[in-house]
Amino acid sequence: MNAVEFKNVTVEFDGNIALDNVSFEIKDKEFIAIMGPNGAGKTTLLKTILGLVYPFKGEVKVYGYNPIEHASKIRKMIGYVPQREYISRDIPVKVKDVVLMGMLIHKNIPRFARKVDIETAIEALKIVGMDWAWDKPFNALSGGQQQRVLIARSIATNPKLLILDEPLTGVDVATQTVIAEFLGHLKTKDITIIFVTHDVNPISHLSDKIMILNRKVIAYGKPNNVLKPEILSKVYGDSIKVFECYPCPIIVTGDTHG
Amino acid sequence: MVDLLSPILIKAYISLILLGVMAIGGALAFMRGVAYLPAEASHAALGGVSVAVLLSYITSIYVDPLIWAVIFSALSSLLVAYAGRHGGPERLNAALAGALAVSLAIYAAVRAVVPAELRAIMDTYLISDILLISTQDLIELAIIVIIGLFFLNLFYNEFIYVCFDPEGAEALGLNIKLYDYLLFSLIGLAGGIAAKTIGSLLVFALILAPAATAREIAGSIKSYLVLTFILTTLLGYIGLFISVLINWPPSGSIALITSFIYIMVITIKTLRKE
Repeated sequence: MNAVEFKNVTVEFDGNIALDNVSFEIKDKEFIAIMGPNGAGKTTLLKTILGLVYPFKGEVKVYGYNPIEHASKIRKMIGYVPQREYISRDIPVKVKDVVLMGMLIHKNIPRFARKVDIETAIEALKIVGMDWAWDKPFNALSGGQQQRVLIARSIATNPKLLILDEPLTGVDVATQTVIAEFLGHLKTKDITIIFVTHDVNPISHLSDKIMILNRKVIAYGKPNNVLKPEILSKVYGDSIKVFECYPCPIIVTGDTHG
Repeated sequence: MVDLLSPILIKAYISLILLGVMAIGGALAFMRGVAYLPAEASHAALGGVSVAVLLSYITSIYVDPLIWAVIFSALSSLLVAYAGRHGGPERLNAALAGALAVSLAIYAAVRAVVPAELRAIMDTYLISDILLISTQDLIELAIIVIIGLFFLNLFYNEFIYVCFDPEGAEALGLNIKLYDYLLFSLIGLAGGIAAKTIGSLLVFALILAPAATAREIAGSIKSYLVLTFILTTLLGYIGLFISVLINWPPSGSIALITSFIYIMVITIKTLRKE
């Protein structure tokens, strides 16, 4: 079964094309990395999957459902980790509040947390190695720790599809490794994972497929077939360096989020 | 000897409790990143009061200024929210300035044409006196505060999500547009009530200064909101007692005490960091 299916999808904002005739399929339980330069349409693609963006043309299906017509149904299946820069730092929120948020949002008003919700939230924090921070202020944590808490929030809802938008941005190398390790663990739990990143190296070995996006799908396939200089240079220019390594090549794009 | 249980002072005590509840709107404004909104909303109240006064003057029928004040405050906040949603922070700030300018223009224009006794009513919303709150005002304030508190309790989680992570909340299916408009309306109501109780010129002192102080101390959202309520009410009482003892205008002494406490907390925090 396909978790996500795009058929000739074009998305426009004020006449500017963000995604141009994009077609691909993501099979259930696959781990997909999506990379591309700034403005390549990566976040737009995720928002289209979430049903937050209306395609100008083409067809999108998430687990067989149109994500706009069946928004409430598909959003219950999805765990979403937004870019950390969109998270407010003006709120004295605690880690437990953040993790419970993901579950409470699917409950009816006034959205009280039950004992089972708290236990699930603690379990999710354990997976990302942050259960010790349950009662800590979110703003007191490092960028990498905050990122792990946000991932815990999304996995606490037990999603079929986990979408992560640049979770490695602003995170040190050690934490990148930790995040890659527990994503590897999640992969064994039969969750479909879509991982948008500027730096594919920490997770290329986990990826079933990698998509190179630059408004169009430039390449989509197994890491060893996609991470090639002749493909990557179409997007990043000739400055791209590819080092052959096992199990996946290592690439140096010089590209950062900004 | 001052009678601390005189009807005038009892009404002032109750007003300060109600204002303490609505000062939570100031805390919400900080969390939503629109700290200036309560001040703008309280100035918009001047526009509402001016319209009410003008209608009274033209029709010779009493038109309640407080109701018009809070309607204008809430509507101007909704306008600001709409501008922010459709044009980002730049349009939001432009709408804040625009709503402020229009309200003050209405105030200035109406003030020029109405007689002195009606001008006096208008001016009480500019710099108010909590000792002059009437029983009818108090009942109306209580009803508005109860409505505000009801919505805050009902949609507490939603407001926090919208403030903390609007993108994530929307992706998970929350109607963030609806809750954002509701949140802005509540913040607007807080500004409108502040205009009545302390005057729009001093809103920073009683709605925003205690919230800003609480923000420096609180370790969780709930403690932040509770502390904002306690600080607003408590500092309001201290300011009120000082004003009664030394025969000062209460608004001025309350504003001075809340500002002093804020500066003190900031200074202590800065010194501790160093």
